[in-house]
Amino acid sequence: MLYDNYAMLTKRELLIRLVKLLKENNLVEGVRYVPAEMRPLGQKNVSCCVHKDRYILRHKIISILGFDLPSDVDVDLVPLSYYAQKSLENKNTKENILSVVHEACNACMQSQYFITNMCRGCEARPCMMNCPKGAISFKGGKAQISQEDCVACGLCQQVCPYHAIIYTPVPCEEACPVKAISKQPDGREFIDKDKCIYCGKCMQACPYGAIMERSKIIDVHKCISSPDKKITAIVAPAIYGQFDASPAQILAAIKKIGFDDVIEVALGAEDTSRNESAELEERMAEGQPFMTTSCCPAYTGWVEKHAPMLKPFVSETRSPMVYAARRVKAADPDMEVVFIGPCLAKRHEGDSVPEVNYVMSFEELGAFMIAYGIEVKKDGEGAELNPEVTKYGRGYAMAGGVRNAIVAAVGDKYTTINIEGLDKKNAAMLKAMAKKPVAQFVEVMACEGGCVNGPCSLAPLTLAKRQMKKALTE
Amino acid sequence: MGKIELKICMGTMCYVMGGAELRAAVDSLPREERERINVSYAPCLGNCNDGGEPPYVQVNGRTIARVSSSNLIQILKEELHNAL
Repeated sequence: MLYDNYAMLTKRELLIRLVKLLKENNLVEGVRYVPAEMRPLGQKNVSCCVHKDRYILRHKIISILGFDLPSDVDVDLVPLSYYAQKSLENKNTKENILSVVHEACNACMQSQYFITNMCRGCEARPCMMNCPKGAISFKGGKAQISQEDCVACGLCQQVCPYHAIIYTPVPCEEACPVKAISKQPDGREFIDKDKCIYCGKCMQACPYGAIMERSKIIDVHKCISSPDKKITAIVAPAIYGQFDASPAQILAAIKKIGFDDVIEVALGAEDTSRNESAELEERMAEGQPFMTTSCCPAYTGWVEKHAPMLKPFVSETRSPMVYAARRVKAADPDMEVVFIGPCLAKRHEGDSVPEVNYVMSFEELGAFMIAYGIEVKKDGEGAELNPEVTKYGRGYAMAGGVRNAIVAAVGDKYTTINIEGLDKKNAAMLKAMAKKPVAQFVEVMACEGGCVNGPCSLAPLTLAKRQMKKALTE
Repeated sequence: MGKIELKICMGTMCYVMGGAELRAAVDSLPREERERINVSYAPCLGNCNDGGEPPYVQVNGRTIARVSSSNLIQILKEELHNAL
C-alpha cells in the first residue's frame, strides 16, 4: 500500500505550479522562480543545503517539461525558460515514459546485509557458523560482513539471537517486479526499456521522488486554451474513488476545466465486456483451456516481455480506453482525445493507439483542477450520466470487476479467478498456468486492488476503495 | 469531558496536497478518543488561494497549516488532554 509522503507532494506541487503558470500564460518567464519559491531561504532543508534542494527541483521541472535527463548537454548551461519555450513549441524530445532524474537519485547503497551495533559478539556466533560463504568475521568483539564474499542469502539475519543484522534495500530495485531498474557504475539507477512494463512501482517506491514520468500538461493545456482545437477527456472509472462526490459531479467538475466534452471510459468498458465475453465463448468452443484479460497494459506488457508462453491465452479484445477513444473519434474525427487515469502503463499503451492523442494522470488532473479553481462538489452541478454505462463498466476500476462483468454477460458456466499484483508468487502462478490452468477465465490486474490503487492516484487506497464502492451503489 | 471540534478542509488544493489522508488518520484513534472529536469537512477554508501551505485543518477554531497525519494526531491528543 502507498502512503502519502513528501516526495509525492513535491511532485504534485511542481505540477500545480507549472499548470498555474501555463494558465497565466507566464510559463517562460515564471518557471525560473519555481525552485526558489518552493524552497525559500530559512526553511529546513531536505538534502544537504537549500541550493541542492532547489537544484533537484530544477531538474525535475526539466523532466516535467518533457526533456529526457540525463541528457548529452550540460543542463546547467541552459536556462529553464529555454526548456519552457521549447516545450510550448512542441519541441520537447522526451521519449522515455519513465526516467531517473540523476540529481535527485541518492545512489542508495547496493542492497546488502549489515551488522548494526546491536551485535553483542556472543559466544554462539551463529552468524559466523552458519554463513555458507565464510563472509562473517569478528573484530573487536563485533561481527562484520565482507561484502565481497556475501551472497545476500540472509541466513545470518535469521539466526542472530539479537536481531542485530539488518537488510538495507534499494527501494526502487526491490519494488520492480521484473528487474528492469539497476545500478550504473556510478551507483545511480538506470531503467532498461526492454524489460520495463511501466507498472510504476519504482516511481512510488523511490524515497527521493527521483523517478519521473513523462507529463502531458503542456500539450493538454494547449488544447484546452486554444479556440481552434477541440479536446475530449475520457476518464477512467477509478476516478470515482478519488473524490468524495457523485460520479455525475466529478465528471461535470472535470468538464469545467475547459474540455469540450467528458466521456466515461466505463462506456468503452461496456464494449470490452461485450467483445471479451464473445471471445471467451468462441475460445471455449474451440477447446482452448483458458483465457486471460487484456485490459491492464502493465500485465500485457509483462506477458510480451517476460512471459511469452502466456501470449496465446491473452484476449485480443481491446481495452476500455481504446473503445472509448474510438467512439469519440467516430463521432468527430477532428476531436483530440486525452485519456485521464491512475495508470502509468496507459501512457505506453496510448503511444500505440492512434485514437488516443494524450494520456494524463489523476495527479495531473488534480493540478489542472487546482489551477482552474475547480471545487468538485460546488462545480459539479447539473450533470447527467450516460445511461448506457452500467455498474459493471464502472466496476473495471476494482480488482474482480472485469470478472464480475464477464460473469454478468455469460453466466457462471466457466470457472473464473482474479489475480491482483504481479509479485513473485502471482507471476509464477500465471506462468505455470500455460501448462496447467486453474480457471477458464483469468482476470489480471498489475496493481493490488485494481486501478483504484494505480501509481498516479490522488486518494489513498482505503479512502479510494470506500468512495469507489459508494459510487458503484449509487 | 470536553469535545474537540475538528474541521478538515476538503477543497481541491488541500485534498490533493495530503488532506485525503487526514480522514483515515482521525479514524485510527482509539474509540474513546475518537468519540470526543466532532469531525466536519469544510468545502474550502480559503487559506491557500495565493500559495499558502496546504493542507489546512481547524482544531477548535484554530487554523493549522501543512498538516500531516502524524502531527494532526499529536495536536488532537494535546487538545483532548487539555479538555479533560
